[in-house]
Amino acid sequence: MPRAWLERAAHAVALVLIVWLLVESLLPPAGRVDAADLGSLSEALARWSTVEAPERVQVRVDSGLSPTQRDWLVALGGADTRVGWNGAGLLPIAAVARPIPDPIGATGVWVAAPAGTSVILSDQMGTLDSVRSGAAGVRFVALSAPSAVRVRANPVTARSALVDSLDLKRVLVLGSTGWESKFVVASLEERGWKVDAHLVLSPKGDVVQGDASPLDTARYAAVVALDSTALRWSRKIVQYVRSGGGLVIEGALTATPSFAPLRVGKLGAAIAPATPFDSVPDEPRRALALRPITLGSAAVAVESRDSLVAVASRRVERGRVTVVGYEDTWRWRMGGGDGALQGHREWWSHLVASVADVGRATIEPTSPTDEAPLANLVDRLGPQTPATGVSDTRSGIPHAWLFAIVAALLLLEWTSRRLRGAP
Amino acid sequence: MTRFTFATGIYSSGDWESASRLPPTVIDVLAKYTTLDLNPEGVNVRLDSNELFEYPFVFLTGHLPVFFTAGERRNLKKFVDRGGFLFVDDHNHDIDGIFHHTMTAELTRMFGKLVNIPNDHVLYRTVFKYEDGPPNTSQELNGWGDNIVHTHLKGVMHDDRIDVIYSNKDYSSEWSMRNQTKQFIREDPMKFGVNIVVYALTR
Amino acid sequence: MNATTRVQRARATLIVTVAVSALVWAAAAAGGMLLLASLADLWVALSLSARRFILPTVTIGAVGVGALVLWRGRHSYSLSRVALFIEERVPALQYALVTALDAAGQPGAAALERRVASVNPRGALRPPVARALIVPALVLTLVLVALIITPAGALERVLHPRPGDSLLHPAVRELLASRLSPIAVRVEPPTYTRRAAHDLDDPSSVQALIGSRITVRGRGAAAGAADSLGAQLGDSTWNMAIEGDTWSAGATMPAKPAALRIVDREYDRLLVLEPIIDEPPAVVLKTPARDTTYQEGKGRLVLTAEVKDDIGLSHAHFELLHTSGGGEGFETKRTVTGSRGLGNMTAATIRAVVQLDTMHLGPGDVLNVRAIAWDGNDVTGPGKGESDTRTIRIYDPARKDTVNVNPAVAAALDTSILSQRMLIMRADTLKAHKSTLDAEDFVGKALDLGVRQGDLRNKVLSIVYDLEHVQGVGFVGETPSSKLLKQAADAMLEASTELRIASLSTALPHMWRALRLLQKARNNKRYWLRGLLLNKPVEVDRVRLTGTDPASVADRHARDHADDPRGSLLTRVDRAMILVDTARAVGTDSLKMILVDALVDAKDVTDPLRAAIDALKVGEDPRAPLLQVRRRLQRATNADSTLSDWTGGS
Repeated sequence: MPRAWLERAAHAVALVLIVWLLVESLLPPAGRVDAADLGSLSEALARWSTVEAPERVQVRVDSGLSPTQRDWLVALGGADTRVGWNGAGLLPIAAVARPIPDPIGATGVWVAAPAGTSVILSDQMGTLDSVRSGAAGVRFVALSAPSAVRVRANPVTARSALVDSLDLKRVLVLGSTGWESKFVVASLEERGWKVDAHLVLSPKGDVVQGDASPLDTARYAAVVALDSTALRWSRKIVQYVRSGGGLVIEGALTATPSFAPLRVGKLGAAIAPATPFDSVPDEPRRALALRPITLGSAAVAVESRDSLVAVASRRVERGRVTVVGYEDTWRWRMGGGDGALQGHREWWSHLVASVADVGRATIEPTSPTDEAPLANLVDRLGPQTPATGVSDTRSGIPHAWLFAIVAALLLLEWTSRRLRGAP
Repeated sequence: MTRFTFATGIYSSGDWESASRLPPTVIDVLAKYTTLDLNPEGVNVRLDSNELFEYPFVFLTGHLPVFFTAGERRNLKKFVDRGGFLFVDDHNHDIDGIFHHTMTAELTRMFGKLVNIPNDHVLYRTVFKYEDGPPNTSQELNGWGDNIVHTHLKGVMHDDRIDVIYSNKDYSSEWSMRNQTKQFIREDPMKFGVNIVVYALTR
Repeated sequence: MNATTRVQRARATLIVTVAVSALVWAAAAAGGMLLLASLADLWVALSLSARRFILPTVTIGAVGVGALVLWRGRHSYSLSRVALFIEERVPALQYALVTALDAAGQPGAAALERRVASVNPRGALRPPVARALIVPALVLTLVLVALIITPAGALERVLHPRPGDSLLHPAVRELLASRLSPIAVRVEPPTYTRRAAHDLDDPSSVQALIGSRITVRGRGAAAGAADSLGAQLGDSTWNMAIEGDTWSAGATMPAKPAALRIVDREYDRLLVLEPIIDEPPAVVLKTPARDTTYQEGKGRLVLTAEVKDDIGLSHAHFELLHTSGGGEGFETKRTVTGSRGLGNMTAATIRAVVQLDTMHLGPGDVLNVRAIAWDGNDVTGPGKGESDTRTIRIYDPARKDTVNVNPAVAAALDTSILSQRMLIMRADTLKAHKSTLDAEDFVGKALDLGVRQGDLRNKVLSIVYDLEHVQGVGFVGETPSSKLLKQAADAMLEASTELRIASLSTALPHMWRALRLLQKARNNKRYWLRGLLLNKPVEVDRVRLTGTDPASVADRHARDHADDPRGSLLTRVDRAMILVDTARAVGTDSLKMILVDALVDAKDVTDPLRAAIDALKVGEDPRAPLLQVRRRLQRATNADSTLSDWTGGS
């Protein structure tokens, strides 16, 4: 008797499921709340846009949406479907690729990411580098100058592409004849900068390269003032910076009244290097004497040594000023380890690049960009919405499985019945 | 800012100190004609020491055989690669002399073949003009040494830039004896030293 | 012939049959396995390492098959089993044979014998014996026939696998579209190296000593290859030779990395030539271990040098340059000593002794000593290696004004002389006051002097050690000074002994003798450290800008942009990576050309570059090694180590 009851029960459940499936397929889709995760989103988007028109959709985003998926969801929202999303662990990252004002034509990639995040940089060819993010994020310099980059901080990928190209102007170096001026000019020239120079030598004449007389932003991307001999051009330099020019200036010089308008902060007493170059191969500037900078209100620290500010910058009206607290950087080039020559060139080039006034020409990005995936998502789809009240049947038990259950139940019921000899 | 210091290179072989009175005369003439920040004293720096890289201008002279040690060679190569300037003078002013043979062999081994520096090179116009190339010395004109008035300086050049000057003119004697010879010479022989130092400091 | 004899004869027949059968089966199995391996190699060219396993495997397999056959026929050794074997095949015996064996010598045996004698069991053995021999023989024959008709070279590759046998692969001739794949390269090192030639199979690059004979060989030359085949290295063309179906091109390994381009009709192929440099000998002068200044040019100079070479040494000697003179006249004499032929050794020590007295070294003279060795390189050499030069100067009192001479060991010696003199004075005083002191006090003071004399002796012996030993080298021999000092130490020992027993009168002569020897040692020969040039400061402020001659300062001209070979390579690698995806063969060639330049400019990327080229060759993805190349060339930097907050631009 119980066996017959069980058979009937199976039969009944199968019939109920068949009826439910029938009703499900016949009921109009309007008014339904549908859900999808990233794995099923592409399929769901196609369905929602063609055979169904759910009143509300909820997308679970565990990693970054592609720009296409995001735009599609926005379009869906424009077609009277309320679109909500939720996701855990989405990192708020942003990446931007810009050409570096450097003659070697590198691409700089600035990444904002939570401190400690592992950030992977790739270009069209593949992975370029990976590094753990610091407190201020990460900056990559890609010497291969890719026009588009991907920055992945699991599970999110940001995409950026170059949107402008640079027109580099000349650099003017002012100082007295000496090793610092010689090697700064040499390093900049070897890096590819076009340099004009005025090196004070004697009342009988100075060593001059180029014509420094029209000190304006049309001719110079930046001025490098190395010592007190630059005071004779102080008025012109201040004017040049105010009108948008860049200035890299040796620390002590900023303390002079002539350069007061450009002051970045106060300069401390010189600290002799405590270590030779070969003991700090990875941080060669630790072997340079330093006059630490106490930052003024408008200044930011660009480079620090221990807790002391070694390089600082500030804006002055339309221009920029970078103050270098290191003394006699030529010692690094002469006495540093294997990478010193390249390092000195690169570092001075970066200093100049950091203030350089450059011309820019807009170019078309070579690939779609998504520089701040999470911010863009919030911007386009609104903030996260909770997944409560969402009917999740479609994604819960697919119809194929329900059909299989019905078939199994009916087969079970028939077999049982036949085995006990019932008709 | 670092002062310019006239450095005499100490090498383990030979008589590196043979022109002991030369550094003060060069410093003296630099002070007379330039506003360069000068160290009033010259220094002697071992070629195999890290101290060498504190002095991007180094003067080498001597009469005796010169055989650099491996450390001296390694340092000198790095010194020049990084932009240091080497001024080498044959105190024998004798192209058959042992200093010339051994020193040019060492320089060639480290930097490749020495070439004649063209007499219209900017070295001869850096501060004072020398239309005919390097100024002659009393030692040459008196027929000492190899009895040749050398018309060119030799050097190691990188494109048009001089990294190493090699001289057979015996400026070591000429400049060392400046106090004795200046009264007989119309033009101060030291002025070419200004050209060399300023060239090293600016190119 | 009784039953036992009959069975024994049958057993002998069966044993021989089993043995022969085992041999034939083993041979057939070996042949079969070789045939299978050859066919497998024909189908997919087996690698050299795989082919090296075939012959041992075949041998083991054949032995196994033979052993199996022997094991199966093991019962042929048993008389009873043989008798049963015969009984099975001759039913007429009705077990008379088995019974006769057991009943030998028992009643009824004769009847059994008669019964056995009436039947001929030999005829019963023929069919199974024939079967046991004919079947394996047939199999063996079939296998041999198959092996004979196997394409030429197939069996050779399996039987004698060796580098360079890729050209033997029979499929090449029929299947190859280009005659440039595969190729084999023979590398014959220069004769002087005494190294054997070796072959490389289908390489992408060839590493060999400069001057090695490189011969590239390929197949398919029978059909008019002379017109279409060529090999070009830079501007030079390699001579192409054709012999039968094999073409070959050969030349010597160039001094710089290069790419050999081999062309055949529309096909071409690059082969990277990576020259290995024969390094010159490394020579280390062990003694004298340092530069010194002698007070006089006398004594014995021991010269020792160690020489090493990567290939083989030819000869070596010491060179001494004695320079004398001053002012405008210097003279240099060159002497060679300690010459030694080194017969292609890779390491040797050479020694010589120079009597300085014979060199007539005068004050101010300079002796430069160095060791020189040559290798046997007759292609680009001979490579010459020189040791550091030691400079031995003879002290010149006349040069004190410019050279500040500091005594080194002499300082310690001077102190010892002072101490010895003090000890003598105290001993004299003690001796003089002997009458005023009580005996115990006198003995105590004498003992104290004896102890001090002993201490001073130890100090002198330490100076002796310093003179005769060099740090890192050890004992370098006695010097005239050390001999004198040892004599002084002996005298001090005598004095110390006498002082300890309060025998001052006996001790004092020894003490005086020690003092004289110390003084003689100091005067005999001194080691000096060279001093520093005395620089006189210039009164810069006094003379500043007092120069009156006119000057015209020349303008400066810009330096050139520094070459960035790594940056150029990076750009080329990026291009090649695109090519690898779109045109694999062109991309591979591009990578080979990059490898040629990287061998000069970026040695750190040559290994991953080779890995990428090899991956492409076997159809694998070269992306991973290429990304490694990019990363090494890239030198990417991050925010922690450089300027970060200031983006530049407006």
